[in-house]
Amino acid sequence: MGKYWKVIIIPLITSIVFITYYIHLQSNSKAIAQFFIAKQSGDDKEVEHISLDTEINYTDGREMVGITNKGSIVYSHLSIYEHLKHISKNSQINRLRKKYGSFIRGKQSVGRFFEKDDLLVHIDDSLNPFTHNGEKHNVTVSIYDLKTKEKDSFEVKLPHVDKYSWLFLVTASLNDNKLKIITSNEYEEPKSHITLTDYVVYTIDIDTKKVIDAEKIFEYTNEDISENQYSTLDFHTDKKDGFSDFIMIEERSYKDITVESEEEGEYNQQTQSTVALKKYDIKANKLSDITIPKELEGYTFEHFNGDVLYFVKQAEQSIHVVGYDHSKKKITSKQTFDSFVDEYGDYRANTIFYNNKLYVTNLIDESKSIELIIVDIVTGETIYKGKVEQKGKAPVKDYVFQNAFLNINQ
Amino acid sequence: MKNYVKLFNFEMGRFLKGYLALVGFTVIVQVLGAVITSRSYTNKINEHVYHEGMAIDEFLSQFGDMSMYAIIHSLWIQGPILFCISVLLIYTLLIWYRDWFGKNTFIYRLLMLPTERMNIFFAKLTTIMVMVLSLVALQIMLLPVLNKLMGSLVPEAYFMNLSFKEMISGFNVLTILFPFSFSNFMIHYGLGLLAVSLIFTAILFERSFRLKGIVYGILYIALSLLILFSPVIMIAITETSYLYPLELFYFELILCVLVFVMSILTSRFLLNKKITV
Repeated sequence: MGKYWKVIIIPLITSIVFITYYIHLQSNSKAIAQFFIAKQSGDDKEVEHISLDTEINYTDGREMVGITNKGSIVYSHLSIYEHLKHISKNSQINRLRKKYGSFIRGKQSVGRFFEKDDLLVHIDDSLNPFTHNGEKHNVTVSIYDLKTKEKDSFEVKLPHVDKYSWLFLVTASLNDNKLKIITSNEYEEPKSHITLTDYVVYTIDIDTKKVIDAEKIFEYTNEDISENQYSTLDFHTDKKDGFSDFIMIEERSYKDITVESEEEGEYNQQTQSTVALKKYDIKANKLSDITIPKELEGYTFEHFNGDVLYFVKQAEQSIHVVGYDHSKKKITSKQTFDSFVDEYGDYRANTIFYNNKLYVTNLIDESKSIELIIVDIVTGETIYKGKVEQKGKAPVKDYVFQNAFLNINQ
Repeated sequence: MKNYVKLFNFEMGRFLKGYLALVGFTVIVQVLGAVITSRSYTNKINEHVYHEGMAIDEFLSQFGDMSMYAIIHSLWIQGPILFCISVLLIYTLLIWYRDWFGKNTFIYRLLMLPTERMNIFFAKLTTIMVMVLSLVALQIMLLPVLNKLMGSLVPEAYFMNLSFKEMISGFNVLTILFPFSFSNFMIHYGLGLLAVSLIFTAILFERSFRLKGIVYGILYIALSLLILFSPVIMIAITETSYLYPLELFYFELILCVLVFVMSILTSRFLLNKKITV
């Protein structure tokens, strides 16, 4: 046996080292993965589909952690398999797969799904960026009716798109078997080399499978206002995963300002605000300007529900959310939440609007916890309040949360 | 089994000196690196703080604190690792060719042994894998030791103690060598095993058909890679993924097992039918 020491000792020591290494990592991951969202008021159902992604700084390192109301996971400890499982579990595709089965296969990575009751439409915009030869300006529309189990798929050629270098699907609407596709089409003005964007509505008759109308509703010039100021055009749809009835077209201005501080000296800070708003009624094909009241100057437009528009403003140590009914021209709600400010003056509170709910996350207790507030924006009622706490008998003491990003998976 | 163990022991013995040289080289260079880097930093402390009277805070803001990062990002750590990887890669070829081109064409004796010829293949494959894993294990043991060593050479106020995970995260190659999850460890070293078996099969092609065999070997590796990457190539061509991420993972896993089995069977065929004594 003695002459075989090489094949006994070396593999044995190697195995012991690896076993110890993975036991150490495992126990370490258990020690830090003990955070969870603890309910303070409201219904736990509100946070079942929520995960808070945060970076935790410990005395001996940092970790990216996902926290739910059940517990937390350390992302760096996930294997490739666990990571893929985690992504699949939380994706919208997974929900659609369960409901519509094989119809989803092959479509998940290209284009978008639009759902209306038991009807699912997939619009394939995989042809971006559109080729320059003008031959591939086709869009594939696939329809699946869950009730009748009927499937249909057809290609339509979009008219007058030769000059565009890029087409982006904004949203779609379905009424009376007429599918309207709204796209933003980019092109460069040959003389000035300025990039222009046309916003076009293509109407497709599902019965004849042809484009029956193409209308430019709006044009935008992408040009810097000045050296330290520029603006962008953003689209807000009323339904994130479904057909839209309205879209809001927002022009947002970004400005770099120089801040002087005794401690930090001079540093740049960016401010942003909504400077113009238009509402497009897809069914009525009507574009109208919305006047933003003076008291909402410096706010950014974030969400809308019917005629009520929601604006947000980050202020020193607070975040303001204002509801404004543009048809009645009056402010309907005003809410203020605390906002954590770090030593560099960065604001860390985040707001997300989803399904007519406002989710606010903020670092509290000297960054040792994260607060989560969910508000029903229709009633203005706080429907959930909770904060991140630790489970287990040996809580970690020396740590701080660096940030908090909300993931809503429905 | 007994014959396999004998051959494995024999292969380990043949590279033992080389292996111990690699172990010695790694330990000496890395310990030396820790000592030299710490000494040069403490010299700076002596010069600026003790002789010129610089405040500790000012020194730290100008020169930063000392930690394992200083040597993990340097050739002191990276050099021996890359050197060991290179030597083991070369030895993956040498482990076969030394039998043919060594002093006494040893392969004739090996092939004449009254045992399954595949035992030779498995003994060589196991030897390479054990050498790789044991060197990785050595590095796992060395990092905390080096951390302690540096901590003892640099005054406490200037030294930042790093966790094992932080040390590993500081150098991407280390996160591949010692992944944080055990299943990733199995995947990384499973792929390593697959790669070594493919190289072995290519070598056996060359040994079986000589010049033509080089072409066969290259074609064999190309075919194996094509099989392994076929799902990804299909996605790139069609710009569409018909498989969901988890399905793609399982499919790739099956393909890896398939390519490995194919490599074993091809090697068995070549060793038994094409390589003659």
